[in-house]
Amino acid sequence: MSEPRSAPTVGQVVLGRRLQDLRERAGLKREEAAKLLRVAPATIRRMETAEVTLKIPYVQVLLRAYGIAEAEAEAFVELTEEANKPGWWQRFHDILPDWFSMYVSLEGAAALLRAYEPHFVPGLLQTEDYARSVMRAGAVGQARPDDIERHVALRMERQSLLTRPDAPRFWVIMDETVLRRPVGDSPEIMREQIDRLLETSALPNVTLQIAEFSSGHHPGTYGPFVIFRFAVPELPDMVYSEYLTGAVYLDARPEVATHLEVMDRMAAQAATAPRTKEILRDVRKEL
Amino acid sequence: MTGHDAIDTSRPHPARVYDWLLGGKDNYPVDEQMARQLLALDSRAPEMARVNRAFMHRATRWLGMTGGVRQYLDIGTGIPTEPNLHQIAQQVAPDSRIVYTDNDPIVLRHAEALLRSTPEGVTEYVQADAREPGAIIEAAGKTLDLDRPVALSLIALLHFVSDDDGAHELVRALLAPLAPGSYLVLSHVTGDFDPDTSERARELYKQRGLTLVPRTRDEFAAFFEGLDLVGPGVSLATDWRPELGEVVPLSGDGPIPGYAGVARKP
Repeated sequence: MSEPRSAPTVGQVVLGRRLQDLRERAGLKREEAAKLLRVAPATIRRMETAEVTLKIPYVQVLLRAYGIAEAEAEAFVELTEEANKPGWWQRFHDILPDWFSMYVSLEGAAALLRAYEPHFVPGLLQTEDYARSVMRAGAVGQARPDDIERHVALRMERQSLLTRPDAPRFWVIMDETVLRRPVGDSPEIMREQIDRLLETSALPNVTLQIAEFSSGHHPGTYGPFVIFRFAVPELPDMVYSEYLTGAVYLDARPEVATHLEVMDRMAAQAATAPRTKEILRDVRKEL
Repeated sequence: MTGHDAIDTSRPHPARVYDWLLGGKDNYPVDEQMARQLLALDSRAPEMARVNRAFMHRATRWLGMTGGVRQYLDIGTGIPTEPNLHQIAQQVAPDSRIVYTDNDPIVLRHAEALLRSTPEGVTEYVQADAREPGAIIEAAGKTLDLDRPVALSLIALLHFVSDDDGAHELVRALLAPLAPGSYLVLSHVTGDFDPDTSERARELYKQRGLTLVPRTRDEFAAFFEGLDLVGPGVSLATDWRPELGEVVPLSGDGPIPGYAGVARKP
């Protein structure tokens, strides 16, 4: 049986996939692997898809059966122990739904993030006041002021990602709507937010593009999504796609390819990064 | 050319096929399918891509170190793969200025997002078709000082341009406005060693509405007419100054069917 647990970390997802590779290379079926552990075949599947936490004794038995050399098996076990440790964001578990905990984990592990944002400045680029205003406006049902402050704190902590030593590349396409629909109850909030955008787009790892109204309709109008790419080549790109009460994560090749193409087409159609800076400066003046 | 009119993702794109062969993820199923067919034709297709890439690295290193070049005009940039041209050039001289050019807006946006210059140098991105050399030179002139030497590179590009489409005129038109002491850097696929496979590859491209023109050694050498080839002259890409960089481990026998050369404009 699987035990209840929080969302898997990227490390766990990687190791699960790797475990599947090793089993397939050893020519074993899930049923055969399951017999070794005296568990149901579904448990092997859950281990491989990171739906359950990998237990070290299980991993050791499997690696031996898959004919993995001592040293490599030891390294695998070490990585498993590392991946099973909770991430820093667990401190926010009270406000963090599982589907978003996974997001924060992916964000921290990705080497490249490509985001399409039709409505808001992405969380990683928001000022504190902007974040607070967005959350107040968007909070329905669970709008406890304390929670909102916790969400703002979490968001601000996530932002250190962009300036850490091994910072990922962050490539964002924002719809012009984001600049035109004012957020917050004073124009100062938008002005500061645009200043922040100008500041962050100067970072060598950040690219910002605005999809202008004048560039016409584009294929991304269904809603926001993010494509994560990892430094581990075996790990496929992963797509995060949001809806009102949750999100889906996709890593099947055809789905990822479609999102990649839509993102690419939008990138080709949207204003270039240098032009985007001009647009931001112009909008800033009008505020 | 204005933006999205030029995007066609229904057909494989050479840059994305190349990306797949190099193990990249910026390609679509239509590109992967094409790449797998090339692979079925010649299992060394990924090695050809890596060999070509490695030649670009070594040539750029030579240009920066020995040639003293600080300005680069790269035509047909393709999808970024580390290390990229500017990274090598700016390793040698951080103030190097690079203009990247591609006709595909998707490819170019990738370059723009991911190829960032050192603070001392410059990287600039120009969307233009290689068949419009005037437009390329005009745009490049905004970033490069055309009164000083420029290294013009057309890496794995000319085999997509037929003679009828003006491959030779193109090279001449791009070189003409460049200062004496400029360099031309080329790499190119050939059918000299396995004409049969080369012909089948050409057919594969043709079925998808793409042009592939493998050239003989002499046909390739003709692109350097009037220029001074630097050592070792026109050679297999693998044989071009191997001492300057990484050696791609090769499988199978026989040469990797690609020529390369670097020449100086007197």
